[in-house]
Amino acid sequence: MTKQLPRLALTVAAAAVLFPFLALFTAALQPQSNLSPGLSWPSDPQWGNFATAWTTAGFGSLLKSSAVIALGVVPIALVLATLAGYGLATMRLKAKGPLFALLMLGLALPYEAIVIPLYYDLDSAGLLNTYWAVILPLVGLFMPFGVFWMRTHFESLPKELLEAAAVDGANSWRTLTRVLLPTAVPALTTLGLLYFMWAWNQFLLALVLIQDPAMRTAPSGLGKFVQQYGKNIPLLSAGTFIVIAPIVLVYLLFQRHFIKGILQGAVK
Amino acid sequence: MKISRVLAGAVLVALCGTACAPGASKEASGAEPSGPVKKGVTDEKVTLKLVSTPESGAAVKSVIKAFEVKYPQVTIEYEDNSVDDYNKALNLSLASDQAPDIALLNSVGTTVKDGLVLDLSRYAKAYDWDKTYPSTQLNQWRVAEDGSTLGTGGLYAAPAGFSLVGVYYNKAKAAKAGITTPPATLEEFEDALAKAKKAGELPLQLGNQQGHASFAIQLIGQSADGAEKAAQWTFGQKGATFDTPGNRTAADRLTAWKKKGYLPGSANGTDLQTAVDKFTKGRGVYFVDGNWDAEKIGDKLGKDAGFIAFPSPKATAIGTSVAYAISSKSKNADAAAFFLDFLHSPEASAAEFRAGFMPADLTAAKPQDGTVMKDIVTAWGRVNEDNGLVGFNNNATATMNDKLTATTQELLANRTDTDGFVKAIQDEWTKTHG
Repeated sequence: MTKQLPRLALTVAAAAVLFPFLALFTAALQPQSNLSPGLSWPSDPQWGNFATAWTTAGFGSLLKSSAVIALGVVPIALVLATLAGYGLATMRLKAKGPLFALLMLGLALPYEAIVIPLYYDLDSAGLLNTYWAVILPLVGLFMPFGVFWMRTHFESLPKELLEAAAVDGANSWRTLTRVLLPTAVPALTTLGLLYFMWAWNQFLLALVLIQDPAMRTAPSGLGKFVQQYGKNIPLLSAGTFIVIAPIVLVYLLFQRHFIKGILQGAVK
Repeated sequence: MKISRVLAGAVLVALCGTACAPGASKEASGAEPSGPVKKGVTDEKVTLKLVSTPESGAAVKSVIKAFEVKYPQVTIEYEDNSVDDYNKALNLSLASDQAPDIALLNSVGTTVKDGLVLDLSRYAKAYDWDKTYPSTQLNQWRVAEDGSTLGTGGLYAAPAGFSLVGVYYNKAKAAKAGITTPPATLEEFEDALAKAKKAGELPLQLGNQQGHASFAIQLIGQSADGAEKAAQWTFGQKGATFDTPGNRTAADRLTAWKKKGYLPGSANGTDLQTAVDKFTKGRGVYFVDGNWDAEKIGDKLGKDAGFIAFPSPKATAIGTSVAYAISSKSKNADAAAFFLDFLHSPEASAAEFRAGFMPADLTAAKPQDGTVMKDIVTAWGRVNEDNGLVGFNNNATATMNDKLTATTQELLANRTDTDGFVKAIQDEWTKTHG
């Protein structure tokens, strides 16, 4: 019994996660005239819905801009978060406490509040309607969490590691690149994956800061299926699969590292 | 995700209301054109950018094609965005350097107040728009100088297609319940509902998750009070009040219907689309909804689908137009206005009708006999004859839709009464127009 219990719990948990996807999948295959698809396998599965959704929303260019934005944000944000986390964790700085507190304030700030000022700032910088208009603010918005994450990681390492590096005459750059970073791969992968997902799904900034609909992010394509007085649920479901597919793929590729990174945090 | 989106929208609207207004309006008042209007287009090559939403854009795309065939020197670039996103981003887009020339205006909102779109009065005069359209249709896009009172003042958009809200009914179910002639007054309508109930049918299908009970309330109210009086309130004109005998009757009737079991018990938890779905599956003899769902209902119910203007000796309907405005920043305003004038041409009217809207030129509407579209065209004709089109109460202020949603839900849930309902709505109105 005790052996079966965890298995049962896991099965229930897996079912709870898979069930919405199943509902989404069956809804995606219903004929478009179906106004409120329930959970039933359609008698005539409409595989064409995926193609229709793709062309209606123009997912080709939307996925591309999501990719450009995500791949632009992730490396810059990872480098900055690593350096800041390293400094805050290992170095003696005068205003370390207040500095960290200031960064943490960013976690509590709803970013929706800064969208309008951001619009005018970027307008005066001439960056509106470029991918940079989304990439740069996102890097900034992701910093509080990333710095917190990397600082926690570097602090969790034994002090002896740093001392040994210092005794061997490594300067702080060498300590970071040769000693600390190799241990940080799981943490960095996890953070990178989260950043990728957040940037990929970023919607509001792309909507407000980029005028050209073709340059917006993938989730904005879903809006095509929602109208003022109703929505096309089958196509909306099919579109949802198209939007989440790349994230699922990236996750599957990095799955092992992701779990390692999460567990590392758990032990600490 | 959903919550953050809603929140984001609210923040944007709030910020825009306060922050972006002053700067923008100064800019625009300087750009207001004057002098005589150049009608038509020259041979010069012109490119115009038009932004819209998919639901109204479908028709406009074919209008553009017809226009470009006739006037090949004009190219119109079309762009669209889903309605929520569109409304959120429109003001910023009009204020930006990439402003479109022609923009769909879903509501007057702060767009006019901020001076982002042109006063079209000069063009209206040059093209005789007030002779083309009944006054109730054009008045919805007239804005007084305060930027929030409608119905008088400059004209800021030209209508393309129209929508109207009336009563759908299931002909087969009605006949089975012994309702032989469509009701013509509120009393007859109530009799019909009672007959339907007796026959074991659901008398009135309703989804009120998004507050669509307000349609029924407005229709009862305005058919008793008269379209002109009702319109004054939706326009926010001084001295208007929601506390009218008509609106009181409406709230009374709705609560009574709920008690008698004329409405579905789950109305407050059902959204409009699900209600449409249920109605097309035979649950409900009557259903108050707009012509935007005519295709869905006609497809499923076929010849059983019927439509009437709300039962009343003088026909009224809730309705508005898909209307297009010209950006204050447009360098080709004359050409843009010429396109707006084309929106009531026979070609454009036919395209609007194909996309499910009532066209400006009703002769272009050629529905097949026995279809629900035929009924809708007939109802639309009656409403126009009686000049009975009234804008949505939900658009009376920027927050009225939320208030109507909340209070109609309370009304159906027995949490408030007619007094409380009427007062809450009028208080909300006073906040903007008082």
